[in-house]
Amino acid sequence: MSWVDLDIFWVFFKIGFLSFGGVFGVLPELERLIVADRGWITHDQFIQSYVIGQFLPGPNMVMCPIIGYWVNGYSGLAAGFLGIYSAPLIIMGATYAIYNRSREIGWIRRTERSLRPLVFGLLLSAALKLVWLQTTGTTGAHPGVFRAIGMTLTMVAAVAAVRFKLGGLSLVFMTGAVWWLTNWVALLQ
Amino acid sequence: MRGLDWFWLNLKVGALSFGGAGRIFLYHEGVVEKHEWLSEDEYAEIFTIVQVLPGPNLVNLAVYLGYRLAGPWWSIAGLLALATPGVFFALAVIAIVDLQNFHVASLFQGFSLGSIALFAAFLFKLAKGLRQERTGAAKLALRIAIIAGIATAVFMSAPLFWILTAGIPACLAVEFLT
Repeated sequence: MSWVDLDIFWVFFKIGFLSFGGVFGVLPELERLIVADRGWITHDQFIQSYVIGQFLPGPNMVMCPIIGYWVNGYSGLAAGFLGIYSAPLIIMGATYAIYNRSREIGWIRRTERSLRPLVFGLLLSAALKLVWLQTTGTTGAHPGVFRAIGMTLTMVAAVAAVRFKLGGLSLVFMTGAVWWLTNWVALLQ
Repeated sequence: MRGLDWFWLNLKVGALSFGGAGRIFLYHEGVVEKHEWLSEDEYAEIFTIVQVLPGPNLVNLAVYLGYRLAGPWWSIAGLLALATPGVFFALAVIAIVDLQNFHVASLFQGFSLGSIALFAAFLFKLAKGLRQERTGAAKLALRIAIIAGIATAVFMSAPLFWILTAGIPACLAVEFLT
């Protein structure tokens, strides 16, 4: 336990209160706090921790304990873990206590229903941003071609998921294999 | 016992949901389809509440559902079951795998595309549910939301700003003025 651990806790605790619409909305702010302001890790490490979080099971916020681990070993890991996950416990606990009692009130019900499309829009924008950022390819060349292939691949996979009720894990491994081959062919040429 | 079932569902999402964005979908499957703890409509309601409030969205959803279904202690236990396995996986990955390696990076990027596809499939279901709302106001709001979603993505701006300044007032206006 040291001041660094407290600072790690504080940074992630704050992020928990700021993040709207998923991890995506806070990535720039998180990077500013951790890479630019404090110089704890490099930009490359930051992106790597994000990719790990995207891929591994559970919340993608697992990137926070991992960053904590890079900064200050296992105590940093614990600080990152507690920091990022305690904010939702507080916010959601308070929300549940208040909302669950008043949800039958007419105007509250109408307000909630009216916000449903907004949530859809938010999630849609997150999906589009993600697909744009994740289709750069890994060879560093022809980003345009990779974007076109990657977006088509994602769309085909999405249609397959809806139409054929394809299992999540097999779908993910299939797109992984196709994308790896695509990149490899491009590299060999 | 519901608390234990809830814990188990979280452990499954926390330990087996490789590949990202589609995970949020597993809660719908577990809570509405398999155990029938909540109706489709109450699930949609909770989904809206947790997404509009700040916080990591998967964690928010898990914690709120935990409070609602099994009380605060099970909610905390569920969160631990959800969040802990990933930490061990991540420690193993950074110890073993060379993330700079070309093949690893390509494969990982491909995995994330698959997860976005699952996410898109989930969005498709969500849109279908929203379209069933019969009022003209709801249909109009959905159209606005789709356009706003695309615009936010294209201009790469912070969602927070747009939610507060445009999204919430627009939705409320459509609901209460039409």
